[in-house]
Amino acid sequence: MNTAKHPHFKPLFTALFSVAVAALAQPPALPDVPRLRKLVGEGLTQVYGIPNTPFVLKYTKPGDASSGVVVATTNDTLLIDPTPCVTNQKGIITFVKPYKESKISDARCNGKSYPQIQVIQQ
Amino acid sequence: MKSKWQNAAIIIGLVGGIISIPKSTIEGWQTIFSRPKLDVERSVPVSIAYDPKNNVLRCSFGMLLFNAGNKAEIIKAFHAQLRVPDDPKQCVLFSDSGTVINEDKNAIGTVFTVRQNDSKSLTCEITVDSSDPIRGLFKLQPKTARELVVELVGEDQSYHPAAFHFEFGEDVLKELFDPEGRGSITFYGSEQ
Repeated sequence: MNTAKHPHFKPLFTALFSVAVAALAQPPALPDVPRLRKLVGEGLTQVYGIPNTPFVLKYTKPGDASSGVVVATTNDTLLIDPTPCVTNQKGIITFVKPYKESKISDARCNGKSYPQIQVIQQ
Repeated sequence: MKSKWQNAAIIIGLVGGIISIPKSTIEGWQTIFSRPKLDVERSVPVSIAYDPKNNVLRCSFGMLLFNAGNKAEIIKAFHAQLRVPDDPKQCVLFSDSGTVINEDKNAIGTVFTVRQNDSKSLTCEITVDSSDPIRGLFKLQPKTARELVVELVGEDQSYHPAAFHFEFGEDVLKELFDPEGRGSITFYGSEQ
């Protein structure tokens, strides 16, 4: 009845609903890549003592697992190096919460030991 | 004057000879000793999926092959094994019969050719029964390191190996085999 009295509200509500749905359907915000790159660069230098190691960031999807040495963390991101014994170009794997992590055996490279974890993206 | 021209001709002849002899020698060598030179690179990480209905495991991965030699390479056989590194007793061999090799999503069989100066991007899927030896290999915690070693066997019995390394922890085991788990896992980074 009320709708019949105010027929001009119907398109307005429809438009508002569409905008709200579109806003909710937005993809999650992309990670702050420059900040992550800076953190990883610092982390690689700190962990291995070799500055300016070239690397690329790789992103995971649910069901992806990887293991390696933690090179950087933020509130919601965990970045690990799956090839601690490789000193040239590295592929750093990025996990965003929620993820499962557990400790695994250390990596040994040239007589040095590095603690490793296994992470599964949920 | 005449001797100057003669000297110049001698020098040109010598230079030409110096340039052409190594080239012809190399070409001659290559003609006599033509052979393939296959490089195998890992390109897609290992994924393992468990199908509880059929009780089978499907293991997939990708490889990039490049033949830098001067003769085509014919791959005659494909071997794969899942094992614990540095522990030869802990090993499961996969047969060719359960293996499907795809190039551009088309199955090409386990016998194929890589022409000279050509490359092939392959994805491989191995299907095996989820037998006790395989499950046993997964349940060797706290030893978590595993490797999938693939060998392509060439026409002249040359072996072209590629090893994918990954860790098989307790969480992965649950994710794969528990009814609440996802049933599949991709070991991201195993291709590096």
